[in-house]
Amino acid sequence: MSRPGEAPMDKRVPTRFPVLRELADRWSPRSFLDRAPDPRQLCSIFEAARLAPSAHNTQPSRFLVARKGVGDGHARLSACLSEANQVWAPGAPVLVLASVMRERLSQVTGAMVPYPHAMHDLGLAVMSAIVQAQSMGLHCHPIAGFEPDLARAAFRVPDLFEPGLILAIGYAGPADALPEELQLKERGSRTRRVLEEVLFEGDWGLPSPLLAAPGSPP
Amino acid sequence: MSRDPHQLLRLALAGAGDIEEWRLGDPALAAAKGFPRAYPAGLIDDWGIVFLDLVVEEGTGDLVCHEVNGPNAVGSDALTGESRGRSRNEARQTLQRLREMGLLAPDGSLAGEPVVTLHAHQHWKAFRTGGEFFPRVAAYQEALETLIPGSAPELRGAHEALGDETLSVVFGDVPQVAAHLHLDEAAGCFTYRGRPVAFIGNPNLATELARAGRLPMRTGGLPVAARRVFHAWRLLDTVRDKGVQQDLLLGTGMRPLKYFEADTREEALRLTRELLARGPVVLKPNAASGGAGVHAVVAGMTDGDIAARIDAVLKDCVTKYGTNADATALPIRGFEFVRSTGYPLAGGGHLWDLRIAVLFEPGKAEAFPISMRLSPAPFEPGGFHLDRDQWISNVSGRQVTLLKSGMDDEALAAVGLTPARLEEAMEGCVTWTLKAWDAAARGGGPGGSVFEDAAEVEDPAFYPREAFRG
Ligand SMILES: Cc1cc2nc3c(=O)[nH]c(=O)nc-3n(C[C@H](O)[C@H](O)[C@H](O)COP(=O)(O)O)c2cc1C
Ligand SMILES: Nc1ncnc2c1ncn2[C@@H]1O[C@H](COP(=O)(O)OP(=O)(O)O)[C@@H](O)[C@H]1O
Ligand SMILES: [Mg+2]
Repeated sequence: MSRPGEAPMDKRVPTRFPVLRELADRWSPRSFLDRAPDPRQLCSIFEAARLAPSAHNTQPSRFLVARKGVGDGHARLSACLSEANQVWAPGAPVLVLASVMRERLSQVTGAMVPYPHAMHDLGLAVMSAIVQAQSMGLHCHPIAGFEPDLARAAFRVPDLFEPGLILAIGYAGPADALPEELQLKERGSRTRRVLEEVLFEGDWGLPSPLLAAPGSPP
Repeated sequence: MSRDPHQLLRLALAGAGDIEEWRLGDPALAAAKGFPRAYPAGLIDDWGIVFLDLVVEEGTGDLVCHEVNGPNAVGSDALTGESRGRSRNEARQTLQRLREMGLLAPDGSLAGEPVVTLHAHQHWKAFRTGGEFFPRVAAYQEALETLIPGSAPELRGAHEALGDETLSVVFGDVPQVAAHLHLDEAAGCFTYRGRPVAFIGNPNLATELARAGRLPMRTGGLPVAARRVFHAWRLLDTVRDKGVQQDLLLGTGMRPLKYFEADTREEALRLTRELLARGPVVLKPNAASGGAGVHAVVAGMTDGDIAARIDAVLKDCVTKYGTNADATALPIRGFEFVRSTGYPLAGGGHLWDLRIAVLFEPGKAEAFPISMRLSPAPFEPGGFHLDRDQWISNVSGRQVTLLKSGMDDEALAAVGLTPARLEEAMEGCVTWTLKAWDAAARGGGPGGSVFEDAAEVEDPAFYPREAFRG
């Protein structure tokens, strides 16, 4: 999204191999339009999150949605953001507190046991939400900079759950709506490691020959 | 009706053979013993109550559970003589459902169309549930009134039409209530006499509709609002499946019973023969209660004798529930017979069981003992299978009931339930509830579809528990 007269920002990271449009187009804006997402679309976003896989099908993720202009949840969640994020994140029309069950019940012993993949599984659900949002023209911005204990107290999050992330959702807005020091970052290009650094085969650190295979783009 | 007539009614019923748990109530004793006992239960995210019937096994001393009942069961008044904790729990669930159904205004008052709640009892012969049921409904009405200011809930018998009230608290026996209860697929909820239903206190209403072919037996596919209005809704299928109940006892400190499941008479006969190698077998129909269709089979019986017992299981259901009972009585299950430590009375040792209630709400579970039910006749290992009075502890339909308070230390000691053992039993009941809740939410647990659950039973170390720990 952009202002009239401003060309839409192309924030895509070049890829050598085709990927889903939603993944190619996704990025994390800090400027959001003052336009509420359609409630049905918000429901689709969390429906998508609900479908995410999880270890033992534990389904550990819980989402607390805070909409600007609906009650005071948005202001209360904004107040949990770290100072740096307070500058921009409250501008998003929707903030979501994404929390995760820290332990799971063992059906063998009947006791609560560690759930090492909890944050991982929360991540899967959040990414499903992000992709669904992207497919509907919305953008999301994941936020770690907030005070989990404040959020826990503000929304009475039970002990078993850990607030893991705040997700900002909305329509991406123009960069120049942001304070000046943030505009440059908003317009800047995005950086990713190349595939050779992240895809190994045979041994740790050895780039997969897949990437050098005949027909692979340079 | 106001509350006072209910108290009077209860006193009147006390002489008319009602289930008398309320008479065991002793608030001072309960307080002194710290009952109900609270347990953390972070996993629980809704409301409900279950009742586990336990014994200590003769010889082994094992804790064993015959059966888990859902909110169809009564007796929650055994501790203090009333069921207010349960009523409040029901009312809080109702409030949450009203909110979900969009029937509450932001200020917490009722908004929108008139709505109904349903309480149904099932021992309509001689009002056997009068002691617990009617006062509970009255206390529920009162709790709703407190939780929803200005709601002015109106008590309505199931035989009467609804009036111009916005909130009707309907009560009656299961068939009467069920007659006006429908699943409205389009609206995505149950309706009673045309109004949306926000609470159903007795899961047997679902079974009653299933018998009539008006509802599927498994409730997982019901619309959200229809499924979630039952008290203890997530356990609706579990409390009707005595097999899964046994599987879930793993890890609770209670020994799961060996059992089989059979979809035909022939299979039931074959599997009964197999299980008889371990000792006597108890046959039970699916989705029945009050002791209906429960029969014992022993090793000396001929195939003909056993087949006759299997037929009797099904026939009893038809007798109790009508011809449609065929639809829900299968599968037949066979369980190893558990002989409890005898309760010594003049004529000999009586089999018994102890009912423990687990009342739960988001984040919390409370357990408390209800009553020990003694079978009315002393147990004779040689011929008990011919005499239901020797081994069936159910009080419904019985003129003579031998009830002891679950707080009666002497009675508990007489059957080997030391205070420490009782604590262990209560904790086990809470663990069972958590396991059942968890398994139902995930489609996991024994017999479920989550592969890792099965893998973990085979090899508890299958899961690298410490991985990823920050
Ligand atoms: C972190 C994680 C670990 C998993 N581990 C196993 C596993 O060890 N074995 C297995 O059969 N399934 C495993 N699963 C699959 C889950 O059982 C599955 O995602 C869940 O039951 C939901 O089913 P669905 O993915 O078909 O929706 C795992 C899933 C996740 C997210
Ligand atoms: N496995 C068993 N061994 C011995 N007695 C049993 C067993 N299962 C049930 N009983 C006796 O039969 C009674 C009725 O069985 P139960 O499963 O509780 O049926 P219902 O659902 O009709 O109450 C129990 O209260 C208990 O006294
Ligand atoms: Mg029973």
